[in-house]
Amino acid sequence: MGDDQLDLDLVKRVQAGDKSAFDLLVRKYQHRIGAVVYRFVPDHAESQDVTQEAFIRAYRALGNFRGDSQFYTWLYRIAVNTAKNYLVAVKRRPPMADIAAEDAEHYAGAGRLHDHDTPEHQLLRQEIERTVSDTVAALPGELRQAITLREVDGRSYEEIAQMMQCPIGTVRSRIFRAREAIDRQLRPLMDNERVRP
Amino acid sequence: MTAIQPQLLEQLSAWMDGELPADEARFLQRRLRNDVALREQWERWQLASAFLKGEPVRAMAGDLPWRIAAALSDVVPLAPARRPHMAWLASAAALVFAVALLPGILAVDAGRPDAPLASLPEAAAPAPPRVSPTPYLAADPGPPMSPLPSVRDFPLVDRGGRGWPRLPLLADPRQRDGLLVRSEHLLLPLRDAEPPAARQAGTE
Repeated sequence: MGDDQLDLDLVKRVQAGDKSAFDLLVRKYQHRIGAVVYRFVPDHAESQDVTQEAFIRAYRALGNFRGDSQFYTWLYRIAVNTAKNYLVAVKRRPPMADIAAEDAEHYAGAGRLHDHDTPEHQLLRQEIERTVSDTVAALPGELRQAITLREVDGRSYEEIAQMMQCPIGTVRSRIFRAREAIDRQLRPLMDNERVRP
Repeated sequence: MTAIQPQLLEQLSAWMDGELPADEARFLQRRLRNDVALREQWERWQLASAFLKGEPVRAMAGDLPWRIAAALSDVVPLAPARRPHMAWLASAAALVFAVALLPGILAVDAGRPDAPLASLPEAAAPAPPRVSPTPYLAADPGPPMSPLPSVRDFPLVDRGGRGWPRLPLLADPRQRDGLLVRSEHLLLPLRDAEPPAARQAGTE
């Protein structure tokens, strides 16, 4: 079962009335959706509100999601529309040109979608990136290889087991231990972010 | 906050990758419903995963999931929309059901070809409603009614085959004008009922 299938399962659970499944989707995608929204609404507080509104709209419309596209693509469109509607509502002009969902996150074209992140947030993001990359670099070789094959190359456990010539259970354990090591370094940064307004 | 069992965390890690067996996944999902710390762990791992993949992310306020959950406390998502082919399947199922019942229905008559409908047991046929006779109809039927007049009892006047209008008065323009002049007095009360201002405006 891949990442898309996992999302689809969560969506089905939400449609069946399980709100904790939607909480998992929020926690999974809030940072990516927040980045998309921020490109349209480059204000920290406003982008938080618009991101929240986008998730609420997604929840209301979840009955229309049939799995024809990836859940993230569907969610992305709702977020972009919510951001544009917000800009219209506050009498600010939304960007004329629309952007494909697949390209939006990497869009750096001229116009209104430049990243106007504050120095604080740029610093935080750089710190998180450095922490993650430094932690991965410091991992024992088998953990580093396992987590890289999984997260960067997108390999399945079976493929990784074949490549590393070890049982699938060992792959599962190595990936978990690598995540734990990263999380130990990441958690203080996230906790600091939580207390920040 | 109590520490999460390492075994549970390993299951969460595998589930995140879509690699957890179904029976373990069901157990984990039940835990996730009620274990906020486990969901927060999921969130941090997802963030780290996004960084490792080089996806643009923006660290959101830690209370955003709580705010969203609070806003959705009394909101119900739309029911999943029915696909068109599901309606087609329902129609097909109804048709198959009807076809399946058809031999049984035909077998009722096929088993007794000579049996007339009248010989069916009375219990099978619905009993006609019993209406008690109205007393005044039953008591005295009264004198017999005279027959209705026929159309022939009212012969048409022969007007030489003229069509509508049958009155020759309007065919003559002088008589028609005379009729209008004579009928003008019928309009006078309406004229007097008009407000003076309207009449003045009409004369100007």
